[in-house]
Amino acid sequence: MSDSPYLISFIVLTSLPLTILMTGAFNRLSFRFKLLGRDVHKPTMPLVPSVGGLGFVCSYLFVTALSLSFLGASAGVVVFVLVPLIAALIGLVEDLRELNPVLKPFLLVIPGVVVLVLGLYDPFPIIPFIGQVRLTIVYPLILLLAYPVVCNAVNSLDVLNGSLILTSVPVLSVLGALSYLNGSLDSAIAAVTLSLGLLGFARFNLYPARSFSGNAGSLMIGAVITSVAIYSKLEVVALTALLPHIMNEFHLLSSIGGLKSGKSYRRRPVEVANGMIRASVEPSAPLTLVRMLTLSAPQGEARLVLRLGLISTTSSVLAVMTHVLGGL
Amino acid sequence: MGDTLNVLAVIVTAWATLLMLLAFISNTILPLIEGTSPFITGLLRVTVSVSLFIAWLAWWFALSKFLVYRGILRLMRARGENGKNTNSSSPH
Repeated sequence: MSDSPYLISFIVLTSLPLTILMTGAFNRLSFRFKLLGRDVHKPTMPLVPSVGGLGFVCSYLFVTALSLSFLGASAGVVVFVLVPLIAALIGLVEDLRELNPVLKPFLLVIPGVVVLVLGLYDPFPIIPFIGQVRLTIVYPLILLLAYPVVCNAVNSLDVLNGSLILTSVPVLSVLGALSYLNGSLDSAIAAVTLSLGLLGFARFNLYPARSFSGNAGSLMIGAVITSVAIYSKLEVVALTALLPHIMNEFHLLSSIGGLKSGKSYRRRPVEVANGMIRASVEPSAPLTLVRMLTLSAPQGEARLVLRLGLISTTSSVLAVMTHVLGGL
Repeated sequence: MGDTLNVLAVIVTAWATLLMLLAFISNTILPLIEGTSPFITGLLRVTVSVSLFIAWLAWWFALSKFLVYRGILRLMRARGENGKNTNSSSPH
C-alpha cells in the first residue's frame, strides 16, 4: 500500500473540480425546480439558486468516503461521512420547508447521539496548560451540545456572499493541519477535502453570488468542524478558532430573545442603501457581527466579507498559538 | 477599519483571558484541591473549572456588548445630528 498517500492525495484533490461540476448541475436543478432565494443586499435583489451548496456537500461526502475507505478507517467513515450527512439532510429539509426553530437544535443533537452511541469519542480531552483531564460524565453532555451549537454558529455567519467560505476555510485549514501533526490522518483528510470543496464553491458564491450554500451546506460544515475537533482531540483549539462564530451566535440569540426563525423578527440588523450595508440604529434590532462591523461607516458587501475573513483568520492564528503555547 | 479593530480587540482579549484562566486553574486551583478524596477532588475540579469557564464567557460577552452598544449610541447620535444639519441647511 505504498501508493496509498499518493492515491489519497489524488482523490482529495479531485474535490475542487468535482465541486465546480456538481454546483453547476445543482444550480440548473435549482432554476428548474424554482429553489431560488433573493439576494437582499443587492439593489436589484436578484433571484439566486438557494441549494447550490449541495455541490460541495455531495463532492465532500463522495471524496471523503472514498479516501477513508482506502485507508480502511471505518470509524472515520462514520464520523466524517455519516454524521455530516445527517446534518446536511436536516439542513436540506430546512431548505425545502421551514423547520420549527426550536425543533432544529434538537434534530442537530442526532449527529452527537450517533458519535456517543458508537463510542467514537475519548472522554479524556487535552486542555492547554492543564493536560489530559478525565471528563467521563461531562464530556458526553458537551458532545451532545457541540453539534447544534457549532452547526448553528456556522449557519448564522452565512449571511453575505462568500461569508460562509471566508469564515470556514481558515478554521478547517488550521484544524486539518494540526490534525495531521497530531497523527489523525482521517480528520486531516476530511478538513482538507472540505476546504478544497469550499474553494471550488467560491467560484459561485463569492460576490456577486451566482449560488447560495443553503442550510444543507452550512450545517454540514459545522458538523465536519465538530467531528474533526472531537476525533483529533482539538476541542480547545476549535473553540478558539470559532470565537467569531460563537460571539455572533450568542449576541444574535440574546438580542432576539432565544430560538426564533430569522423571518419572524421584524427589525433587521443592517440596512441596505445604494448597495452599501450599514448598521441599524434600532436598539432592539438583532445584534450580529455584520452589524458590529458597520457601526462606524457603511460598507460594500465584498469589503465586509473580506473583513469577516480577516477576523476568522486572526482567530484561527490564535488557535494555532493556543496549540503551541498550551503545550499540546 | 475601526469597527474591525474593535471586534478583533474583543476576540484577542477573550483569547488572552481564556489562556490566563486555564493557567490559573492549572497553577492555583488544581493544587489547592489536591489531597482530598478522589471523588471530592474530581467533583471540585469539574465544578470549579465549569464555573470559571461560564464566568469567562459572561465577561467576554459583556465586553463585546458594551463596545457594540457604545457604537450604536454613537451612531444614533451621528445620524440624528446629520438629520438636524440637513434640515437646518434647507432653504425652506
